[in-house]
Amino acid sequence: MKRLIEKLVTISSPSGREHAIREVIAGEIKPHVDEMKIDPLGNLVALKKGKSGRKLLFDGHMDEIGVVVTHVDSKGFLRVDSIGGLSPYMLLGSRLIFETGASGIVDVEGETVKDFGEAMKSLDYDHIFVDIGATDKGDAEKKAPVGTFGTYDSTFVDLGKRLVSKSMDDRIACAIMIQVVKELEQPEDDVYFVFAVQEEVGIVGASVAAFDIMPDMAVAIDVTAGPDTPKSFKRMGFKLGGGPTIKIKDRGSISSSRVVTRLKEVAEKRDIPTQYEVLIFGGTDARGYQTTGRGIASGTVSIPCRYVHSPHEMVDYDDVLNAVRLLKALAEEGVE
Amino acid sequence: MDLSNAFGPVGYEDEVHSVIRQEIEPFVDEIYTDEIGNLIAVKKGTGKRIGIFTHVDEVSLVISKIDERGFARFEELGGIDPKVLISQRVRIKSRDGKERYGVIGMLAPHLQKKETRGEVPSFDELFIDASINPDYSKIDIGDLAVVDFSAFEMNGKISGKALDDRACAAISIETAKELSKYLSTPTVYFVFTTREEVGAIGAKGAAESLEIDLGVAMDVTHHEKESDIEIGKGPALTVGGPNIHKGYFKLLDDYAKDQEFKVQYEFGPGRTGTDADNVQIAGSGVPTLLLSLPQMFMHTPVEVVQISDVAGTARLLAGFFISLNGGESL
Amino acid sequence: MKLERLKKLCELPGISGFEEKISSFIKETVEDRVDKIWIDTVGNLIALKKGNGKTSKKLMLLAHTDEVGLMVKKINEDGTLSFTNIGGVDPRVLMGKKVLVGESLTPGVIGFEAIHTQDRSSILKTPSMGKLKIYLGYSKKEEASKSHRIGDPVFFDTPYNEIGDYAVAKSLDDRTGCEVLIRVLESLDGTSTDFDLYFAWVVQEEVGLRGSGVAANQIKPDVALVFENTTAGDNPELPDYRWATSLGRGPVLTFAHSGLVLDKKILDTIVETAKSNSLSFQYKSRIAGGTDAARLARVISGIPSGVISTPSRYIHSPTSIININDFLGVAKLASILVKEGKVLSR
Repeated sequence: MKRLIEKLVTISSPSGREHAIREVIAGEIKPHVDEMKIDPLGNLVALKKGKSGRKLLFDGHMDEIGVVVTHVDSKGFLRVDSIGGLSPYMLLGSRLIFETGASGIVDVEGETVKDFGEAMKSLDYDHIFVDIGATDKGDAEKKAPVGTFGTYDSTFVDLGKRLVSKSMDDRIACAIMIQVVKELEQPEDDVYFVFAVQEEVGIVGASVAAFDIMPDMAVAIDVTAGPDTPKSFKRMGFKLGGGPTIKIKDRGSISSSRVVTRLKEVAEKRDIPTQYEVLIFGGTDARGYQTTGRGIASGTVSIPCRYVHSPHEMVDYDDVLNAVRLLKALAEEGVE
Repeated sequence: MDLSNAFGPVGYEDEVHSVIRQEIEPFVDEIYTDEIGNLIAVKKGTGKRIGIFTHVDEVSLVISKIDERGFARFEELGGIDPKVLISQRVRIKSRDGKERYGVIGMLAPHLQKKETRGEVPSFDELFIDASINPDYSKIDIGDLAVVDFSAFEMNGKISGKALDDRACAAISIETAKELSKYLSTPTVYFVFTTREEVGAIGAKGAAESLEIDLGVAMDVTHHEKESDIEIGKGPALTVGGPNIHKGYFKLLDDYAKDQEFKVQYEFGPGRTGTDADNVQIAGSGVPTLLLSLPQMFMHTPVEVVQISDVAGTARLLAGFFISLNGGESL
Repeated sequence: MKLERLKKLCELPGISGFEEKISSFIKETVEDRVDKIWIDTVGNLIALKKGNGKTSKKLMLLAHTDEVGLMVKKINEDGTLSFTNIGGVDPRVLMGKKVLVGESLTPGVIGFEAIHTQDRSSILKTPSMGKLKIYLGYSKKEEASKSHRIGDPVFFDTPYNEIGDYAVAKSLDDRTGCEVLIRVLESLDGTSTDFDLYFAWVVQEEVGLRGSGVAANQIKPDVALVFENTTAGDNPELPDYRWATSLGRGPVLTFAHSGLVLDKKILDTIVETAKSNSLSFQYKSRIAGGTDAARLARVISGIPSGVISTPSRYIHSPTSIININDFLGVAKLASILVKEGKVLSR
């Protein structure tokens, strides 16, 4: 499955510009699903029919965080703003890739040592710029005009048990879902696979993707923190390698207890390691499903991930494999 | 008081549902829970269709980490002031259904440095001492905790936890009882919502699934000298403003004055921070009213409401609903 | 319930200056076992079990009956009560609690303004004691004044509970000490000591070690053993090298505390006794805090003493915790020390 993961994480598709990743995902799943469509917002929705008459929905978001060019100056340097929660600190020392193919390097303004120090203390997008190696404004405008979207350049590394790359959030979920699509032969319920758009800018795609489906249960798959590094958040107790997590709550939603219980039941029945997760910040697409129409019982299965929203997000490969097993098991056992 | 003592953290209100079912069953035609976890009781009638929305989730805690010695870290479910958690006893409910105990402790003050005495520990510094349970190793992330406080009566008032918003749920149940005294009533949906404390999520789903002509939300409001709202003076009617339907408000206000019910007024310049927010903009929109029960010490274990306010509001609502249908009584 | 009598003791209201209920309960419990028993002018309960006369030395066992609490300072116009602390009570342990006011033990609550209306920047600031009020359901001063007055004592309301090896209650400081004394007395049934043995259940320790000196003056003991309740700092917010004591490691022996270094010979005797009886114990690793021993050292010609304590978490709050085995360890160690009387030889 590592090659599939590498294929997905290396694509550059920030929120609102998901066509590149959507094409690749569609190509992967098409031979294995009964129906597939793209909805008005761009969500990719696929269906594998089951026999119970009930509906289960899996969701992973296709978009990643990124930047957009807001200004090209007279010397050919770019100004950008963030798409989703991309910290300007993470940009320093990173390489950006734009949808036009241009490569960018980021640095900070500072006319004096003091100014530079101040800017570094509270860094914001107003004080950084991007250099794409353009010789002048004209050259820059050809390479990355205003409105051009960009993301971290790809950085996939296979460390054996651990995998590192940009956009594990949330391509790892897409990879997991694709794998489930390929392996799932006998779903109990109708299983919908929603590859959602624009989660990073406000859970947009997931707020409406299920409106016409209204499944009996929705499970979002996303990454969560990795609070097992030195002196990491003392209030959170889950870790990499402890298994995919069953989320209890984050700042976006409180998982429906029905979903939590069912996931745990299925995991115990099939002997799949899991851990419970309480995240003291953050949110997932589950919130979108809870607030769709009359409400859908929703929860989240998360992959513990260190260094989220940096160019080098790290996950545990066994957690990923177990997540595939868990979701496949849920689809085979059914929501009830 | 049974409602107050019931264990019902946000998203896990089953125990409260049982208490409500028992109380309201004789007075309604149908009771069910919906997808998102609301409990809905239906009294079938004729004429107008009205929904009463009160939330039954309480602010509470969820365990986010537990160490080898049995000390747990936690996160809030809904907004709690860390100051009122210090030195409290808590009831911890685990997934196996078992209840265990804990104490939210703090180092004895006379051993603290002078600098720290002026500051209250935040959620990052607080902990639940669950080490006293012999089987504390069975406590896991995701287990829920509420402050162990038994409601009690005090001079015509009740002090207890979760009166926000179970006191209003009680009003809802009492309204059902009052309505049963009439021969013909409107159709009333008594909606006991979930997840109000984290954004009125339950109310949104409920309002979208029911077809109602009027939505009446009931929540608690602050007993406060500045806004002239006090317990003991009846419910506060919210004067809108964007979130309130002016037509229905006038009808309610006129009815109250006519029947000489004690009421107070509260202003609502925008969203009210209650179920009313989401009820009004659900689906194609629902005319919405908000009645608030004045309460002291909101979101602490010792919330206080006046018993007469509860009974009085139920009679007001029941009478008002009947009047909407043109009025009729036994 | 393993410790029925400790439960009774902890649940009785007895803050400094209002210890009568505790003293009378203990008096009733022990009077048949002692030769002489009296309550002095400040309220100390003192009992004597005469020895067989082989020596004229006197040993005094001491514990304090008072707990910390509050006192009504003012009845406000709106019917609430303003209060001040009796003994060391930090305002941070008071919010959102039920209390009992006056001899009538009328229930009330100490609430706090809802978080929604507080100024964001001050949510984590400790409120002053003056900002907190007791609400009993009255809305006017006249109503409240009918049943309450300035100076009324205010007690915490916490039921005693045992869970596994632990007890959770209020006033474990120092009802555990009081109970140790009673148990020592019981363990001497049918025997006698060479020396005269005095039991002093003293008052007002929490407001300045005030009862112990008065008791000592009436007894004039040669040596005293003080049984206290001391703080355990074993919570996850403190690294272990900063814990004063911890639960589950046995009785606490103090070598020094605020205002006094305890007598070395007595300490050594206690340590030896514990070791030779295979009783586990721990030392108190912080110098902070004080006991009646500091007062005893400063009365008459100075009374040397030993201090043995039950470790307890969250003392001076409505909810403290002890490990029952630690407590039983203190009682056992105390009985052996009294029976052997070695502490008296100096």
